[in-house]
Amino acid sequence: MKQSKFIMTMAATVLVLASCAKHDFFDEDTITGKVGPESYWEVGSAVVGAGNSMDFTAQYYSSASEIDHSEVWYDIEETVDKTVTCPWTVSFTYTQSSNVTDQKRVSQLIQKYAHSPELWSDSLHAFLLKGSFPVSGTLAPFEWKQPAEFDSTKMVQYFGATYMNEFKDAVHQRMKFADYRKMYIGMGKLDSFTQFTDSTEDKNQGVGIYVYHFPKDRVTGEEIIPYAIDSIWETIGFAELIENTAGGYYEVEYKRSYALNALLRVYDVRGVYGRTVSKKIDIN
Amino acid sequence: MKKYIRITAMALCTLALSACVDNVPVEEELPQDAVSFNYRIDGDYSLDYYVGSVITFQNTSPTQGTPVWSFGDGTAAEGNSVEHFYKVAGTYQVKLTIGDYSKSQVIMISDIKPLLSINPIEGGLCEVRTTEVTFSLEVPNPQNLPLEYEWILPAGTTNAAGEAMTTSHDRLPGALKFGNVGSQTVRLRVKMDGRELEEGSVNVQVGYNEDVPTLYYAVQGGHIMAYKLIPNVPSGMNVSPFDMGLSSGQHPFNLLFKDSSLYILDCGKQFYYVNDEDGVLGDGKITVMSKDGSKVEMMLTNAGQAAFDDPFYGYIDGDYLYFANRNTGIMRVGLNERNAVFSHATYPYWVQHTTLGYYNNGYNYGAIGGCFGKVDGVWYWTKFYNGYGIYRFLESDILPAAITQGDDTNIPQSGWVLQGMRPKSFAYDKNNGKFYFTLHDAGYGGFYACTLADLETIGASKSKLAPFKKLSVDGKAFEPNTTGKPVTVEGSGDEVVAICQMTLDEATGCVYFGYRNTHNDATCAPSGIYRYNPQKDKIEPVIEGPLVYGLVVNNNPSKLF
Repeated sequence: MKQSKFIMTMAATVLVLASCAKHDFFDEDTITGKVGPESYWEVGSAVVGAGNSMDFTAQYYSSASEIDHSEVWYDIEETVDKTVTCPWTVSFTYTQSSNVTDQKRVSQLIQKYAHSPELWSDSLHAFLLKGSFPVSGTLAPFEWKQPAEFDSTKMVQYFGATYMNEFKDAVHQRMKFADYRKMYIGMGKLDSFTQFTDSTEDKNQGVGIYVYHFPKDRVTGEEIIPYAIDSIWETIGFAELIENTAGGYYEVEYKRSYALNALLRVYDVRGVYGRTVSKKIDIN
Repeated sequence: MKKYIRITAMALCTLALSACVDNVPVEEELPQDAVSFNYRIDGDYSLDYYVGSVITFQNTSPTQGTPVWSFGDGTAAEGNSVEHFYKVAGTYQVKLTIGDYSKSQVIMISDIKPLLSINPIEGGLCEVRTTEVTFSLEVPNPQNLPLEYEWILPAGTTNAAGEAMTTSHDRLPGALKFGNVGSQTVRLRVKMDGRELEEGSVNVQVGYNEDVPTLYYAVQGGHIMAYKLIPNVPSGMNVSPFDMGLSSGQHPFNLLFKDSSLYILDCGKQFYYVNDEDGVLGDGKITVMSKDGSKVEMMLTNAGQAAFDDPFYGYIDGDYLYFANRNTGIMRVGLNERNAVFSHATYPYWVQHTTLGYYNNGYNYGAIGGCFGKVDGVWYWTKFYNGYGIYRFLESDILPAAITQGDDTNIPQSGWVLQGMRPKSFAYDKNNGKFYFTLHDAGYGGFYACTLADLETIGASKSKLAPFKKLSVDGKAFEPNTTGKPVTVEGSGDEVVAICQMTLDEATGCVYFGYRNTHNDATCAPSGIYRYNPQKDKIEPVIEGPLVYGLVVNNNPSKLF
């Protein structure tokens, strides 16, 4: 018993000695930078008007060095929503939409704030800074929505040079008899569709119930779109295709808006900074 | 011997411990990209990045060598600090190359555009037909090029002399009065040396001359809007909505109002079934907007957590906002809380399916809920899947622990109404004792008005609904489903958006709701905001067109907000 206790004690000692060669894996595998000031902030709102200022309140302190100053930095991201709809079809609803968000300016210094010992708050045990930062008036949202007059220049500017042809082709590929009929009659391209109409009794639906279609090939049984129908299609412009005649506008929307991702950097006199969390702020 | 062993062991331990060295990490320089740079504009318009503004590009790379710049517009330069300006607005990729290393960063160049602003208004409020409004204009024009102006004024605008104005070609249009209530958009087209700049605009928030309630509503894919509820609009005056400038979010099924704040419950992108086995698809949130839109704060977010824990429906009672998830229960959050992150540990269920005696004795596991709230002190909770109806309970009915099987002794005395029907939303007017509800059962869908006693009479019988169904002034129904086909294509068959909220104008007793007819079903009313008018016993259109989710009336009357 005595011997075993002795052995256990010695083993524990050896273990302790071995462990004293301190292996700090984090230290070995990471690079330790300088300790910067601790900082926290809240902005006045999640939205700000273009051309206005955003208020904020920040708290900061440093246990490593004296504070020098602080800075607001932000980047700009843009969101563009595009929607175009062809209101003339009945067998399908054709709408092309896209929503793309991209960074448009890298994070940049926006404003500097001087530090003063007078900012110290005994109750917070931190410096308390109340300030604001500006937002450019050029970043106001922009919208071109359901215009009463079609503007092909704007269409190209906002949607690209090839968009109108691509949209028309995409609609064309989906067009069926009922769509042509509604579209051509609605647009005034034809007074009557009778000459292009054939019908078949659909006994699954019931006796005397007919479905209407283009005349079919006698051999293959497939519908053939008459040449005249295709010819008329060639005369239809993109603007006609998206015109909502009942509403008196064109079914196109382009919306552009911006947001900024802002943070506060607090610098000490060594030039080392600590940063707050980033706040996303929509611009309206 | 024992003593020696102990002493030796203690000595060794002490030696071992004293031998330990606390390795304080050495401060090192953090690595950075081989190539890095920034850009800035000094002086005027430093935030605007206008066409023609001189931009300084500064190399901040640790890599030694000759910095070669490519500005993305076909031009290039060399040097540590270079200046460049862009001739055309757009987005460019600026690339800095030093030796074998390079880095690209984006820069957006804005076109010069007119910046309009409203000069301070005496009293701070623009009243319709009364208040004179003047404007300021800034058109950055560093080259002093000739400018032409075309102001486009909203209908009903007059000058100080009371003369109608639709356009003006002066630099400023002078003092204007506005003849209609709502956001009045003043637009300005400017040509700079013959080139048309992007149009500038400013919204003038024009209030009414008397205090009236305000309706807030969330437009699909649009913004939170506000609309003054003017009982008898004067002849020749139009009322249009105010754009509050805040995105509606993804699916804001409920809006709530208390004191001076609007609470927006957005259940995020996914509101019907999705396989979220990792519980990370949540993106819902509750946002608080001040009644005038000037301040927006995050109240609570569920981002990155279970999708079905997003806030779907809500109700404010006392100092709490109660919010329901998709199909399990109701939690609550203090009205003053901000920037909170949802978790069941922090926001435990206030009530859930399994803590009411209705569980497996009325509704079943996963019963999907709609609107809920209090009527005469009793909680009403709509269920439209896996146990249809409105389940009523008192707070004292909530069981202290979850149950697996309901039993008759646990069923709340308040009882269950509209059994077997699929209610989605309701409102109650205590002044006339009317209970309003919507159903989305095929063939029975629509808007109903009855008394609480009638609700008991209807019971579980759809055939008794007919006398209480309300139609539009032109006889159109408000069915979310027509013979099984949802008139809204959003959501699954069992979880269509339908009429997801109703709200009461306490002054008139009118009940407002948004109706979504995206299939343009001719048997039903077109999409828009409607109100049931108890004086006429009909449903009237209020705003035609918008696809609306949640909506709420601020019953504290005001001229503007």
